[in-house]
Amino acid sequence: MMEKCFDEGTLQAFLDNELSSELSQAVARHLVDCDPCAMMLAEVEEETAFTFAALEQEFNTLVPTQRLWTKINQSIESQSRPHGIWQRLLTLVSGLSFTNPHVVAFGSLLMIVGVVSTLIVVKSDNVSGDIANINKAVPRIEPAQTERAPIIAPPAGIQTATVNNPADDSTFTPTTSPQFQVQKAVYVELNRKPIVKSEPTKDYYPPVPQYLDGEESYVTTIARLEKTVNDKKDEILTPSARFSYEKDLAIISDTITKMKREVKKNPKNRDAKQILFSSYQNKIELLNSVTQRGELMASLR
Amino acid sequence: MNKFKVIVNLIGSNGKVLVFFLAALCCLSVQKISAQGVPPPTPNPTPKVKVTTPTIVTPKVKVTSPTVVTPMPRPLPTPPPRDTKRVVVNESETPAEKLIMTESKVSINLCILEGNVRINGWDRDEIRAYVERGSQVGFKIVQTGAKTKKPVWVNVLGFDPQKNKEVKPEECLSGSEIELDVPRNATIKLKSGESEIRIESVARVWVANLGGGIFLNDISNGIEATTYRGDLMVEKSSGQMVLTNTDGNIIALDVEPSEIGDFFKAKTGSGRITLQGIGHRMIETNSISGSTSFTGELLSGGQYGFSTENGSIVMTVPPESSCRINASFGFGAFASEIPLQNTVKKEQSLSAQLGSAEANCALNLRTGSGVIRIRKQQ
Repeated sequence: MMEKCFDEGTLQAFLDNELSSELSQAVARHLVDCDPCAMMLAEVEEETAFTFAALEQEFNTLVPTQRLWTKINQSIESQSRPHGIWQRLLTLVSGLSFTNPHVVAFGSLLMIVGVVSTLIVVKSDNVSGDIANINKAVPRIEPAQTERAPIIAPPAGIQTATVNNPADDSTFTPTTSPQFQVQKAVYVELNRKPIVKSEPTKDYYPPVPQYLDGEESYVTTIARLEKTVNDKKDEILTPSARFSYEKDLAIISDTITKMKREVKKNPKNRDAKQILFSSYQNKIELLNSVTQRGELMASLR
Repeated sequence: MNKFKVIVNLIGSNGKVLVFFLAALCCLSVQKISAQGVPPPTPNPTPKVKVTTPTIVTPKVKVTSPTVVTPMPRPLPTPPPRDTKRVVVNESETPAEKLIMTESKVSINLCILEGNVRINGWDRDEIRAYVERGSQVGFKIVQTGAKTKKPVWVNVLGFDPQKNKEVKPEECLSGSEIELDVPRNATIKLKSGESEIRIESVARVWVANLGGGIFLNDISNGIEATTYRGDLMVEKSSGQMVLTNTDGNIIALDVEPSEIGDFFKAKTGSGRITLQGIGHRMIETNSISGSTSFTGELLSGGQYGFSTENGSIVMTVPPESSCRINASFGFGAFASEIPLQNTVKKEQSLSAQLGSAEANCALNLRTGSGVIRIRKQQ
């Protein structure tokens, strides 16, 4: 009588030598008599062979346990010891693998950058040398008017020399007078025009503060009054009167500031506008009171 | 491509040497570039000089003509030099006293340098001037009446123009006590330096005082008074009134208009305005850092305006008062003990009806950062 067929897992375990000896013998006896199970075993064998073939590289890789521990120990030792910068660099470089194309590409890039930087440095050295020569050509050097000569129209009395071509010293003619000497020459590139202080155009107007309707006349009047009063308030006002005047002025100015802020927040706030204009009027009257006081004093002398 | 492979192979073979070379080159470059930013030390350091900056010349801005008419600043008068100071004429330590007959309606001008001043109206058509421990006194008749030939315009001087012929006699009176008795219908125009001024029972007063209080009582036909330091008090008077104080209180009690249309104005800088029993229908007050107090009736047809910059406004009125209220209180508040009708309240203002809606009185209250309060008069 034929025994019951085994499942795939048992067959796989049979192939892996994971079954007990009795079970393994039983499986073997069964496989001799049962064709389907033999077929199934063949399939499992194929699958296993395929899997092992795929993982062969991984399975064959040796775990470098001893090497790893040795390397770790060496690294710990090297970290504990002080190293010079060159030694560290050497360690870093020795760790690089030049078979890796990325490393090679990075190295090439580094090389290009280095070459370009060297060229820039060499060129700038030449330019500074020219400027030094210009300075030597100046007969007498006065204290610096400016730390670095600005690329603008020089202030009165200071003249700057311009080098058109730093490579050609023969074209340079310093236009200095005996009184005023050059501290530093200005290097201007050929394709760059020197920036000259230009007169503002007629159409240009500085930004004018925006006033409310009727506010400007108040502000103008106050400014004029303040100018008049500030010149003579020390003569007119006694210390106590001066104190009161300044206090009242501060209160009014504070109200104006607050109300201007309110109006700025909400331009349709009529109440704030009304109080603002009233405060302006009060300020005018306060300033006028000082002039009136001065008139009275003058009439009594 | 083949060349590149060759280079790569070359790098691969002598990679370590090449990387060393590149690293050294980079370090050198970086060192050079960083050193370039630092100026080399100079053997003789130059002194620090101001760095001149380019100045931008701004064109003049066209200013449009102001649309609101505001008072123009007046240039301050230049005081005369010291050598032209006038001489106070005083012949002796005895008090100076003079008397002159005038019209009943007479205009009297005088200036006072210092001293307590008392001017009284009396029933005689005479001016009597008395100066104690001070200057001489004299009269200068500016104008006489057409019919009676009596003076109608007199200047009271600190010297006698008939006797004293000094080149530059001081015209202003000065002394410890200065008294004038004048006709009741007289108009007084007084300028004063440092004085306490008390004027009673005259028709009209114009007074300006640099420092010191002014007390006016029983003035029948109008007041214009200014003091720059001290209290200003008006009592039991009538007529149009303009009271100005820079540093002090203003008090007005029981005053009324003498003619229809007379207004009452009071303005102070640092002081309190107290009004009680004001019969004027046009009242306007303004203070900067003081509070305003009004006690009395709000008359029908009245136009009341009270404003402060930084002070409270307290109105104590009868509960049956009726007036239209417009209050602006900026950063302050509004409160009323009397119920208001038709109230429209905004963030910083209030509009309401006090009493019946038929009243045509207007009450405008404004404070920058104070409290507006309406109280019931008991």
